[in-house]
Amino acid sequence: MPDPLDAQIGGSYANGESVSRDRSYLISFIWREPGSGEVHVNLRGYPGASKIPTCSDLDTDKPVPCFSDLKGNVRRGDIVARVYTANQGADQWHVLYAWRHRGSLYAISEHVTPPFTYARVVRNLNRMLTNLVLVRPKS
Amino acid sequence: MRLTRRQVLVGAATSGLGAVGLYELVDRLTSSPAMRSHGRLHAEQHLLDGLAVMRDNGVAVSVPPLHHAVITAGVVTDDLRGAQRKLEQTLLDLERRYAPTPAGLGVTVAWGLPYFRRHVPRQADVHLPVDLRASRTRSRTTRALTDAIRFPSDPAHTILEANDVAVLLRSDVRAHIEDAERALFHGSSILHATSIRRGFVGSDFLSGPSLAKRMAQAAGIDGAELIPDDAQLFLGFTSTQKAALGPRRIANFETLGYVDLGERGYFRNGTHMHLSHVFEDLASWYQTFDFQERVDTAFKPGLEAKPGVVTVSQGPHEAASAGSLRRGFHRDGRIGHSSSIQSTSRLVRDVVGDDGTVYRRGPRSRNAPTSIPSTTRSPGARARNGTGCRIRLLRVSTSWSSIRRATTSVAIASQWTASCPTAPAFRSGPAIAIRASTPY
Repeated sequence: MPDPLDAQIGGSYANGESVSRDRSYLISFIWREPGSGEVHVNLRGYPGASKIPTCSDLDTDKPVPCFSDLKGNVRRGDIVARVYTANQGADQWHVLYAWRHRGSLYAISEHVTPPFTYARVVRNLNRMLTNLVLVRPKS
Repeated sequence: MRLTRRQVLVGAATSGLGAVGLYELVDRLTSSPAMRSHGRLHAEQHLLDGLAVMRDNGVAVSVPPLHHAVITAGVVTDDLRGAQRKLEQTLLDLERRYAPTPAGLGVTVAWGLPYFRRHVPRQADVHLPVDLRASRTRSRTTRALTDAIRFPSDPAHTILEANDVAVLLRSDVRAHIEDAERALFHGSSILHATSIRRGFVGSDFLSGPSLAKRMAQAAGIDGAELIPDDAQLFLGFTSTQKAALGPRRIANFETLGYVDLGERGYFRNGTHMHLSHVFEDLASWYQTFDFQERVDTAFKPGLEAKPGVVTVSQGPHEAASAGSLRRGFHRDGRIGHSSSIQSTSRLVRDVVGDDGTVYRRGPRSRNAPTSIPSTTRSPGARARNGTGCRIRLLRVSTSWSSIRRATTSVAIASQWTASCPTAPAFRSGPAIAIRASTPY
């Protein structure tokens, strides 16, 4: 993960984890220092669902795709992720990679904000995508 | 709360390039401008011959000059007759040196109310054109040239400028603009420049990232990477669709019969110019609005456009009416930029012009859109401070008249500029432009 995040759930940079009724989950890591900037990464999973979820538009309250503005694909190993740049909810202002695996949708996103530029965030996401490890559920 | 989060985060740091250094990048980022066809001087000073036309997404697009500069100034002499002769000679020299085409140079000189009031109040009272429709609405005589006013959406630090004159210079060749700047302002005993706004526009819709995108990236503007590769302007859409541009003389004071020019018609063939700034946040534009939302906002809600296109057809038959705007607003709670302008800038019926030309319903009464994505102010230029740049829309309509030719002309343009967000916002008042000399 981008420095200084350490991907430790429950660790110093953990920003909470949540599981919804539909079993979709969000795990967030953040480092923030006033005047210096912010590093914020979200990981999402939608077990059993492969469609892009729907969010409520902040202006109109109308349903809109949570991930939008497809900017192409990125392949890392067995994963072919789609790149989205206009996203909703906790992923707003983030570049988001989304991919499908065995009928489920997964996503990882990072906030585009200092100290990281858009290009650096893309490099960070590429590296994270390359190094993802599949964790099989234990129960 | 879209902007709230953004507002607490400092924008991406800009590069160390000053505005002038940034502007010089245009030369490096563009190939040698293709020679465009020869032109002739028209009665309308704003008109440039030789504008190329390209096609993108099946839409014909007019190609404006690559470079622009708008210089505002004050008149610093009381010898108006002498100033008139000198300025006219300078303009004539420029006209001899450069063809009135993008390959040459376009010069438009606009005079503002401060000039008319300070220097020639009696003549202005006689000759300044009267807006007939506004006069009817207000039940009193209303000039076609009025003072700029403060709008509710203006930031508190907005400064309404009061310049005597504004000069618009346009060319594919930056050196031509610099030459004109030197000729008109350097060491001048007539004009004292108060600000300079520089800019550029361009995309060939074919070969890699456009000039607009590369310049935004070079400047380190937040969100620059998200500008579509073939975007003519920072916000990702083409603004110079040929079918949306009015016939050349449509914006002249006298053309549509909206203006009373008085007995002598001093400002015949003239129009007005207005400079304004709208600050845009590219990162917000591209990261919180998806493509359809950008189309909704730039054009009109619900407009169908193929994802990713930058050139959207804006022909006469696609113009929005005031009624459709109202219905759309009630339905969606939104009004698009272009459609809101169309309800005022496009003819709602065919009009026969003063010279017998039939102006058909639909085309807008503007004819020279341009784009200016970098700005400097001089003297007292405010340095970029590393907090990131915002983009602002400079909507310009220009007019001029010529004592020499007893003619005036018109241009209305949209110019995108970048500026530092910490600098006060400046808005120049409207002006009437004149060729060759100080008016009267």
